[in-house]
Amino acid sequence: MQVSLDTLFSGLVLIVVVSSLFAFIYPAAYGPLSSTSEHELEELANTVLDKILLTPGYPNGWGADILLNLSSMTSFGLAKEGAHSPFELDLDKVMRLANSSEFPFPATLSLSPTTAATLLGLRSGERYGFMITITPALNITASLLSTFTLAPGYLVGSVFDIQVLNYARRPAANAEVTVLSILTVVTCGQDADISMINSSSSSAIADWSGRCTIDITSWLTVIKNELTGKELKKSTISIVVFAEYVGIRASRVFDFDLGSRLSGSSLGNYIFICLEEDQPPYGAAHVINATEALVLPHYILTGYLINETRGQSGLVVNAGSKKYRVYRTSMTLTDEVSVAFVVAKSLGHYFSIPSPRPPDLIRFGTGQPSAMKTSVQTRIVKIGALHYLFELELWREGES
Amino acid sequence: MPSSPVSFLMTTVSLCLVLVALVTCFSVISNVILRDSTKTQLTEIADHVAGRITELRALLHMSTSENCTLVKTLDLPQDVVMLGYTVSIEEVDGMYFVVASLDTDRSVFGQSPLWSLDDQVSVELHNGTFATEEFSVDYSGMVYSGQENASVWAREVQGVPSVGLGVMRVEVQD
Repeated sequence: MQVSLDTLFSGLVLIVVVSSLFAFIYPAAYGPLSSTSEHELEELANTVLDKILLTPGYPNGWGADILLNLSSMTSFGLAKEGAHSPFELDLDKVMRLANSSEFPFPATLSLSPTTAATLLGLRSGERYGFMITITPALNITASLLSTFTLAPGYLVGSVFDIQVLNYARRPAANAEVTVLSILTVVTCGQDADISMINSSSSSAIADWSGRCTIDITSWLTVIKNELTGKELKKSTISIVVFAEYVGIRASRVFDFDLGSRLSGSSLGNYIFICLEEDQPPYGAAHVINATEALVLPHYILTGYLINETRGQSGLVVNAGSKKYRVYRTSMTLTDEVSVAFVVAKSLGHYFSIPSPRPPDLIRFGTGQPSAMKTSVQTRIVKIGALHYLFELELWREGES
Repeated sequence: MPSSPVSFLMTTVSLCLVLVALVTCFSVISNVILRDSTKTQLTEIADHVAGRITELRALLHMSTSENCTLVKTLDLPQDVVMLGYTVSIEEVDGMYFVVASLDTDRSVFGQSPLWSLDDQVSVELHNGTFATEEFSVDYSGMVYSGQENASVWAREVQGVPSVGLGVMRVEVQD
């Protein structure tokens, strides 16, 4: 009996020792393995990023062709066809990534993230989730410091404080800042209202903190003198800030004309005007048949609109069967056009509607990262004449 | 109650069984870990090859030359856990995949996606040879670990782009 108990006890001790050894070996072996696995995810993310940024997708011009059924695409890529340098993206393809719930862009023109994931091979075998974020390479902010009285009761912004940060959110000291101010004024004509668009360009160098002040008071004074004797019905100002820092160029539109129920977006030579009719006051809007396209930092192209919305009244936008009105511009909107403006009258007021190309933030993907390990790959890319920060997050869905 | 020799025998046999079970468990666990580790390394190799193919495809796309041939030799490990492996391009679910698998056990593999079968860039899976003035490439849709000058290539002939795996041979000029 004594021998049995001894053997049993020593057996138990042996089991405890070996189990403890296993408990130690398993995580010790899986630690490096998980590290290798993470590195493998980095390699895959790098390959996927190259595929997106360096190949044009197929059909090659899938971005601009609004009649193309995107589910018939056989390859997904954003590179510009005929680009002479790598990491140059096609603006229209980037616009197709815009989320219609966050940006006034027709959902029928947006590419489905599931289609993109399938074309990238992220749905065969092991499933991966991804999220693409595109933001301007320079973080530009502007705030209104002072206003100018154009006519009694009509105030427009005149002094602006601009701050430029680089993509690492550090001050972009000595950045060259150019502000294109666009003033839309509407005066009473004999038969109809007359809308005029004036523009002015001002430049400054940012200080050590990336800040500078732009004052357009003198230009506004000239316009005020020109308006003497005319009955002013509306004035609105938008500024487009263009900044260049160590060769990186970025811009941002600031619309100080709040209260518009209309919003705009653009794809190829088309402009989409969206009327938000979720809450009162309701009413139709009338789009003025003119458009301005900005090629930064100095050029403005002007043209007119051609209605392309079937079965809808031309320039009158109301809460009809279609949420969007589609207009084709008389001029060619190249990738270098950073923003297109349209003026519209709604409920007795005039509004300037910018259509940024592309919007300041694009997020496109299968969902939010939810895995233990997410690989993040970042590149500076060129879209049109400007630079953007392209971020790809990739994760294994099985790790959620 | 069993007699003392019988009891001793039973406990000894039990102890031996426990030891055998522990050794078996250890062996299974170490095999699982080794298999996972091998699979991860093979996937990493497949990702690396897929990355180089994607790069060549992008360079080919940006090239303005009419008949362009690009070749890049692969820097692959000689073996994975002391075993040889094969890197090949295969069709899986309507997509081309780079697959790296062990020569001794094809069920241990890693794969990385390339692009759809309907893409305009075709993937050469058959045997053949093409040559330029400086080198020639024997392609077969697969390369083996330890193979000298294992390469990825991309070429566009009369507007038709294609990519593949092969072995580059540099012609020695007298």
